[in-house]
Amino acid sequence: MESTTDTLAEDAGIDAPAVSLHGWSLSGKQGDVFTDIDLEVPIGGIAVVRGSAGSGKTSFLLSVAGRMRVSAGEGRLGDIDIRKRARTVRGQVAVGHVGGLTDLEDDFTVAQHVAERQIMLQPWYKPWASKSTLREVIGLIRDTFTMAAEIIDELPPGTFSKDDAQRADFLIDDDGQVFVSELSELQKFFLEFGLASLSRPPVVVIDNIDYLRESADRARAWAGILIYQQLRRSRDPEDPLTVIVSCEDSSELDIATRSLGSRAEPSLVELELPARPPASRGSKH
Amino acid sequence: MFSLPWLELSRFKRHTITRLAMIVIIVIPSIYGGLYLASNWNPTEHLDKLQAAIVNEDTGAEKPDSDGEKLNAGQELVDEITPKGEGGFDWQETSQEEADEGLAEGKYFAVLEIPSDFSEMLVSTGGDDPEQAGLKLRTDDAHNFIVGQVAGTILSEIKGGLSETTTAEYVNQVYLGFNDIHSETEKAANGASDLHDGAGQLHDGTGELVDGATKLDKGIGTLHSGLIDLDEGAGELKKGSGDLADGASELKKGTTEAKNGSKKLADGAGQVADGTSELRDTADEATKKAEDVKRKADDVVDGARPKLERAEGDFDDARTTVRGDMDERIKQLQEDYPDDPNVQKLAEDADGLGEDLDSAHKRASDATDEAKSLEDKLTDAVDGVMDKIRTADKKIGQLDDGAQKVATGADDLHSGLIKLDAGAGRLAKGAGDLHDGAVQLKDGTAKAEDGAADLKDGSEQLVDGATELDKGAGKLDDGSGELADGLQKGLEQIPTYDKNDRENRSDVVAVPVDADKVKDNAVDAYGEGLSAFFVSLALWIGGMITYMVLNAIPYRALFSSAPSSRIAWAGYVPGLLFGIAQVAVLYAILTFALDFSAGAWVWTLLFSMLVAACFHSVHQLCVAALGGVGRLVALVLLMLQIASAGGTYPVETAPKIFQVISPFLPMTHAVSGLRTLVAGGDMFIAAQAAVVLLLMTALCLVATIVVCSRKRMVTLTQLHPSLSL
Repeated sequence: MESTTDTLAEDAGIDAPAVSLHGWSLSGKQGDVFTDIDLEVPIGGIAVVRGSAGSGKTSFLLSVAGRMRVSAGEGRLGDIDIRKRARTVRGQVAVGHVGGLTDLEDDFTVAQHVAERQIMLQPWYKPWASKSTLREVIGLIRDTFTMAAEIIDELPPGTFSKDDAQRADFLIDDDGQVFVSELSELQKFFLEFGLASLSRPPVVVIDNIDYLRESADRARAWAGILIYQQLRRSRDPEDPLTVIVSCEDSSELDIATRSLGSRAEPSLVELELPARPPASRGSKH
Repeated sequence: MFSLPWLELSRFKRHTITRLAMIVIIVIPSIYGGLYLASNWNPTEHLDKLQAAIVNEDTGAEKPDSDGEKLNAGQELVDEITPKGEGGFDWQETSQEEADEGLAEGKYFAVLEIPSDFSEMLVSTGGDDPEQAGLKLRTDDAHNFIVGQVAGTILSEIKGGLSETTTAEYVNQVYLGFNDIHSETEKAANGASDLHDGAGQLHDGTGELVDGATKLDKGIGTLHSGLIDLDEGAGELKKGSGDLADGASELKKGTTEAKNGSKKLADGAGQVADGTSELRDTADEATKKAEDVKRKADDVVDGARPKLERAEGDFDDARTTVRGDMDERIKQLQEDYPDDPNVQKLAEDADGLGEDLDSAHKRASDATDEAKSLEDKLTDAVDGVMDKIRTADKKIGQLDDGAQKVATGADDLHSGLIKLDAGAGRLAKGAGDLHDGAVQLKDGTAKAEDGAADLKDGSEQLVDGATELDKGAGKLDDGSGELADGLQKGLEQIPTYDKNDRENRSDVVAVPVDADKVKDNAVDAYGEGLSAFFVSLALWIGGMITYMVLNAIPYRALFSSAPSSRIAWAGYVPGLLFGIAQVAVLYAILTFALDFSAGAWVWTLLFSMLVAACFHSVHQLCVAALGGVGRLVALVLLMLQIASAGGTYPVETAPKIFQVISPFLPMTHAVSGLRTLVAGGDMFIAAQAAVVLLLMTALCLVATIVVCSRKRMVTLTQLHPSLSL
């Protein structure tokens, strides 16, 4: 496992950047949201977009995901021009969590969520998901959690324990019959992340990790992201996962990276969005 | 196995409240449609539960042409409509005050007032001064507007019934009149026929008159010319008679002279007669002496001639003897003695003898003939003298006779001239008288001619007049013939009616048009007729409710990499399933609770499901595109469609704007299709509606897909909505 991780980390440095932005700006009727942002995220890397509330983090993430138009600048996802081929970009960039847009359905079970996403990813002529397909998917998720737990097990005793992995595991029962409303915030976070990753997209964006109220959960979330990136590399070296995460405060990432140590050595890019004067209207968040 | 619709529905399985919500979604259209249709299923059947007052103030009237028979039409009307189940409402006879009060309070829904002169007016239809009878129906819109409308219908039914009886009564009289007309016309026709005969005879007569007049005219013409001639003659007569009178006077003078002369003549003639008588006696004696001369001459003649004749005879005999016997004997001697010269001489002597004899004979004969001719001459001369003597004698006789007669005649002449003179005297007087008469005659004929000329003019006028009269009579004949024919034909066309016929016809004329209302594809009840509209409304409301509860699209899926069409479909199918359930429940309730029956059940159900599918696709689109605002839009659409779908009154009765938008709204087609299917009828309309609804559904689904696709892009406004519904 270690060797693999190293190799992949090196590979990431060699390849062309997964996301590269130049002069990326967005201005709306209320003024500029963000201006003149240059960013290069290497493939398999992790970008942390920091900024206070209302600094335009969500808009920025959505614009990178091809789901919001910017007013100026150049942006590429690999070879794809984000502004010109937004539709293709949307197929490549999954949205892990954007509050208010990707909210889970409380009255769905985990299995139903998974099934729903699975069906939608299937071609049009297969509008259903059999129980066996679902079991396969759930098995895959369970494997992921097992492997994450294994990675944590290998860590020296400290910040993370196997218990953290179990805390994050939303597959509380074998068949995923538990309702989303019964999940913890962390579990929901991972469910969203898991659903976003189901199509194995090259890039996943996650907005506002700070909505996890507990600091420990945030650390667990970061750790989960890092571990999943590692696992993805190990499973499919040709198709590493690039993650763009926004937050107000990335201190828990430091805890995670410190704790994981050599288990996860992300190509980390950081972007600080300047705080703007509070908008005249209240935010939905 | 999982599928998207099922997953969407499974959201509701978790809690009792959400399960109840599902039931509510399914049941709400039924509640809406069912309740409304139940309350209005057959309202007109229950009008007899409404109380209405009838106020009868009619005083009655006497029927015309009857012996004091009274008509109480008001009371008859009351009796007719007050029994339960008659006359539409529950009619009650009340006083005017009670009725007014009841109407004001809302106790009575209608008040029918029969005025006091109601019967009188009805009766007047048969009289000289017909007037319409009036009824008054009062309703109070403050209590119920619709009842006012219905009451109008009831009033017109009552009015129709009354008109029927009174008109029949009146028309019966009219038909009686026809019989009178018929008999009178018959008389007229007979009269005209007689007139025609008379005119024919008149025409014949005038024809004869014309002939007669023409002849008369000719006669008068002749008369006239005759009179002219007569006049001329009279003129001449006048002149002649004048001459005659003159002549007669002359004659008178002459005759007097002649009378005197004749006296002398008579005397002279007597003397002549005496002379002639003597002459006659002398002539008779001369004649007797001539007769004696004659007798003596005759005796001379008679004695001479026979002696000559005997001499002639003797010579002839002698010659014959000589010539005959002697020749033969000489000849014989010549033969016997040819050469003897005696013989020869003898022969020559004999021959000379013969020739002497012959010449003697000849001279005798010539003497005879000469004697004879002398005799004849003598005889003739004697006879001639004798004749002249006799003639002279005879003429002297005659002369004597004549002279005797002249003497007598002269006497007669004298006496005659005496008479003649007297006659001439009378003639002269008569001729004078004649001339006077002729003068008068001439005057008369002149006048007569003038008169005849006038008469001719008159007769010409008479001919002209008679011809005109004849022409006129001809025309009269023709005209009276036509009149008679026309009247006869007319008579044939004037119908007569016996009693039964009259009654039958009166009834028919009273209600000449028996208007049978035939409804094609009739529905059983008012509610069933309205069902197409209310089912559509209910399904629209069902769609609104459905997408109030259901997510129009699974929003979180927008941020997955799933295709938009899949997302739109995932949002639509659960709604569609609810729609189908709504249809099923709605029809179950209509059928079992309201006795609803559709013409084509299976198609009605399928069509209703299509309607639901269409409506739900509209609602999904509204909500997916506009969120909460979409629900408001759906509500506005509902209002527009109620106004323009033509569910109650046809949309053509609505203002133009509704007619314009009508075809673009799905409920219009839902209503028209359902109506056809429920009532039965031209399935083409339903098929057409189905096609339109299918197209609208497809259009909405495509629009929803577009919406989904666009929703995947987020705008700042969406991220920070100013108004959250």
